[in-house]
Amino acid sequence: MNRITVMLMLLCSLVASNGQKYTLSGYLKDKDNGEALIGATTYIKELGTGVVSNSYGFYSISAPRGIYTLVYSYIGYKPQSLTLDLSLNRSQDISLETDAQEIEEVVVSGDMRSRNVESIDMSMTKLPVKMVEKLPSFMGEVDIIKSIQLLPGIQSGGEGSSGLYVRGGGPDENLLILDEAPVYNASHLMGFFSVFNSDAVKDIQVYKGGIPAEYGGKASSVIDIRMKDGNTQDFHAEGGIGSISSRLTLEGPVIRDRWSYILSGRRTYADFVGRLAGIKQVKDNKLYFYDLNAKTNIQLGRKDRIYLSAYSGDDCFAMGESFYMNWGNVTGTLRWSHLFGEKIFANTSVIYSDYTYNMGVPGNSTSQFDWSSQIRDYNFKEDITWYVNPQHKINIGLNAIYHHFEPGILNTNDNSYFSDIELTQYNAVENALYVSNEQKIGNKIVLKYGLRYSMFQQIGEGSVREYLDAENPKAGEIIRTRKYSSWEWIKPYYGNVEPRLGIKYSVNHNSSVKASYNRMVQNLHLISNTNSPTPFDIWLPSNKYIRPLICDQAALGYFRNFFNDALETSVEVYYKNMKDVIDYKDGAQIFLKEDLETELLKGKGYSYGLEMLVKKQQGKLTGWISYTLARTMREVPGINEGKVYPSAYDRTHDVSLIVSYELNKCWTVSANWNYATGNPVSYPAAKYDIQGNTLYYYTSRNSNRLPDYHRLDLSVNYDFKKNDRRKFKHSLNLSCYNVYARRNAYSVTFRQNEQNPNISEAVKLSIIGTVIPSLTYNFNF
Amino acid sequence: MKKYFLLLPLAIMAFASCEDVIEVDLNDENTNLFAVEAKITTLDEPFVFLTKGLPVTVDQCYEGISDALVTITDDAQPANVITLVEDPGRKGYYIVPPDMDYYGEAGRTYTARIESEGIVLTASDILEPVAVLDSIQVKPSMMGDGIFLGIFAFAQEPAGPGNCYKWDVFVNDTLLADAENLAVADDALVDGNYCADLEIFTDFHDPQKSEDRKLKLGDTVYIEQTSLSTFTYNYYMQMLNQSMTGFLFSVPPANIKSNFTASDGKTVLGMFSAHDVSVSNTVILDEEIEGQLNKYSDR
Repeated sequence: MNRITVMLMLLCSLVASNGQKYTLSGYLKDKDNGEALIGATTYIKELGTGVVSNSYGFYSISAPRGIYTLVYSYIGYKPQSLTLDLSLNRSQDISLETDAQEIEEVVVSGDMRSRNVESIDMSMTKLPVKMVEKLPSFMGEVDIIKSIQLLPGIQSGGEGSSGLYVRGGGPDENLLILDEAPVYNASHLMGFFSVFNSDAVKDIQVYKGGIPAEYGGKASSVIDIRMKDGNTQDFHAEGGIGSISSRLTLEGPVIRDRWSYILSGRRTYADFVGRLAGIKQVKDNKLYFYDLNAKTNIQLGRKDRIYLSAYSGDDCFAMGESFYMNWGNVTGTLRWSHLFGEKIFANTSVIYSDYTYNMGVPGNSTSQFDWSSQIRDYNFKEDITWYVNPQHKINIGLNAIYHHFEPGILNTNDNSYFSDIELTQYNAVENALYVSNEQKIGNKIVLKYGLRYSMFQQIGEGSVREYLDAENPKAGEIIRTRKYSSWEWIKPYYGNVEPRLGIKYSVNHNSSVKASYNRMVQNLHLISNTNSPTPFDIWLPSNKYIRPLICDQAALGYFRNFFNDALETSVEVYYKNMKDVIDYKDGAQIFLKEDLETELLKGKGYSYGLEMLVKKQQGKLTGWISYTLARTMREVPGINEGKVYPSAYDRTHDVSLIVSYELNKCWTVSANWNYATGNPVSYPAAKYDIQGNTLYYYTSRNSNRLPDYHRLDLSVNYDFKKNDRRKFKHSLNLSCYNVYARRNAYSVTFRQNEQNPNISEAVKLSIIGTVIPSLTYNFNF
Repeated sequence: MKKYFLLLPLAIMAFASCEDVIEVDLNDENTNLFAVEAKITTLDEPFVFLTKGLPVTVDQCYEGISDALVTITDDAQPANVITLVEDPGRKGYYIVPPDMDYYGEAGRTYTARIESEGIVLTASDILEPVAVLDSIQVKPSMMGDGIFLGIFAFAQEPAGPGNCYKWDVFVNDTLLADAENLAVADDALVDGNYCADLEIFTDFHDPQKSEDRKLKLGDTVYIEQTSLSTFTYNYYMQMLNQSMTGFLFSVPPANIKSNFTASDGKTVLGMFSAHDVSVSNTVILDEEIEGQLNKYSDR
């Protein structure tokens, strides 16, 4: 409570100090396509102070009465200067023109040049989509999630996993939002590709720490992906034909400057091509995925904007008449942005998100069934930013989510030997209130402090099993099952205060020291005991038996730019403590399980590490090199005899080298090389035999390591010569994945030698054991 | 149902994956733990094989332990006790004495007691009754577009949850014992239903290599439908998990808890299981069945 009092006092003091000032506000956008410029700078030369535009391109700055020179700038764009008489509140929208001379630099950056030093944010990266598109890709599919895995402190689960492991957190601990809507499963084809079509994406922000109060609900990270708004000036199309998929994006104005739309789609077509070619195996089978993004953006006068965006994506797999499975997300966001006066920017959003999978046997045979599972969210968000004065920026908001979980429904026809079954459904409300303030103290210090209060309540209709020993529920020890009617509160209630703190001290104009602390609380839990998440994992709410996962993280960093901001460097250290981490009993059966609580274990964990980054964003040679040294441990009673053991996500060393070099206007070559210590695994200590099968006995959890992982990918991009002079531009991209064909270990298992069954041999499985080239043709007009 | 779930990852892995035998550093520890395989059924007389677990790296077969005192007891009043004797032809393998009969009876709980090296190992399992298997058929499977043969069972699943099954497939009187051929299920999704055409084995193989087929023209096939207690069901499920370790979306390897306990408190490996058995008709894989297979794959 003391913390809240201090916050209120600080807020009161800053309101009191707000004297007679006038405010200048407006939107910053791209002159060519009308897209909002996120993170562009508005600078008052005479005062030596400035602000950065928000996610909607909005800026607001206050100053005493006077005549000022305003400078609007954004990397890759021509800066614009303006002399203004600020004797009353004014609004000024600015369209910046791309800078032809700097166009090469635009491709690798979408950011304020010295942002990493100037901004209060730490452990945060903005990933320019243009850069992601230049990187070598797996089978020609530009993949945002795979690019995020190249950042320091973020690891992948290996090939065939689009899971993100951020600073020792699990793959379910990332708040992955697309236009504010959570995406519960971001993978296609069991993790080989991710669901985000880069053509429809404008901006990607990744927070590993120092997470602002407006974000919550997940323990480890935030990946905030914003879709393009659509070109408000002219009709524009872009697309590509790749080795496994094709994509097309159409955008343009409905009413110029006021109302725009964007439609973007991608689909794999192995099935189409196969059918046309008459390949029998393809004719009867299905294996494809698609993504569809749509957004419209309407400007109702100067103060109001409405955005409606939607995403739908599915994976479909079917083997003739014998089996099918599908999974996919649907999200929708309706957002109204309103400007109260010149200083208060309010966003009201209604958000829908749904993840469904189903599988079954089609037809009318006796083995027919359809198994489906779903998680559905209805979400209301109110977020208000108050640009009090250049020294204070207050953010206040509330968030109310209704979650509905359907862990499983089995539908059958009359002929089937399966029964109709419905696993218990769950409902929960997750609400949050937050307030934060970004405060400048003198020229050297910036503080950002905030609180988020999260509330989580499971509600009826539902039932809860009660066990003899509530702390240690065992199958067969149910004493009763309590039923709850619709909207009845099911105890317990989980309320948590989540403090968020950040401080930046500017050492000089090109270096700063930053520190942050945040507490994150997670009330949705992915139930999965497999090595990496599968599309068939289910989510469960915090309940009587599953407590919220609470994660505290502190980080300290030094940021320094060299050569007039051409080279950005940073070093960060972090320590993270995790409480009520879920794990599983040995041999837990969780598939189709009603009393899952009997298979769960609770424990704790910690993670610490050092991350270094050197990044070059300008010139012909761009890219970054990152190094992470980290340790992630778990302590779970019931595993490893209760002793501390390395988490499956523990990776001691991780190096990423990303380079892109523009040879000339036509040719660009890019490469990335990744090295990581092998994942922790358990090798057996003894073997024995049951019914002719060799079984293994393990003495400790994760005490061994897979062989180290390293891989080089290359790509060459060719922009056709005539691009300069024509509206229609096209290019070719050749990518090579795993250039030196390393057989990286996905796992090492043991089996009996075929010639001599008395010998057990270690077998390394590589998911990708060869070079995978791909060619993509891209165009736009 | 779980086997369906594994189809897609397997299909994906077929794309570019490969395997290599490598050298690894193992935890060199001589655990020296007792390992027991013991079984009683309503069809066959009980046996107990007593040995010790071996370090993973050693190249030797499991050597049986002689001179153990092995008894099997049921929960009847008075209890039926039998002392097993060591098979003269197989060290550490204990069987019913030649002049005696001893078979499991459904509904009883059996306890195996082994005394060796001054340590007593004990385990109990309940011999659950099993539903009668009406018949089996061998015909092309819908999985894999009918190019593989499947074995299909017909049986009434008794009402009431908690029944668990294991199907042992015998080809030319030899059990297909590999874990990859392990067919176990519980009745959670089929409780009380008549199960017709229940596919319990599919002869997946490389279609280019007909020599890899397990079901070939002229073979005789029958099935034993056996009951499992909840414990043994879980044991077999974990055995399946261990055999799948390392594949995409597999479960990290874990120890399989035995139902044996040792008087010295040490871990014991292995299990004692009790099964009721219902034996199916025998199918001869004749030209007619083989013909269906061909016809199916040509469609």
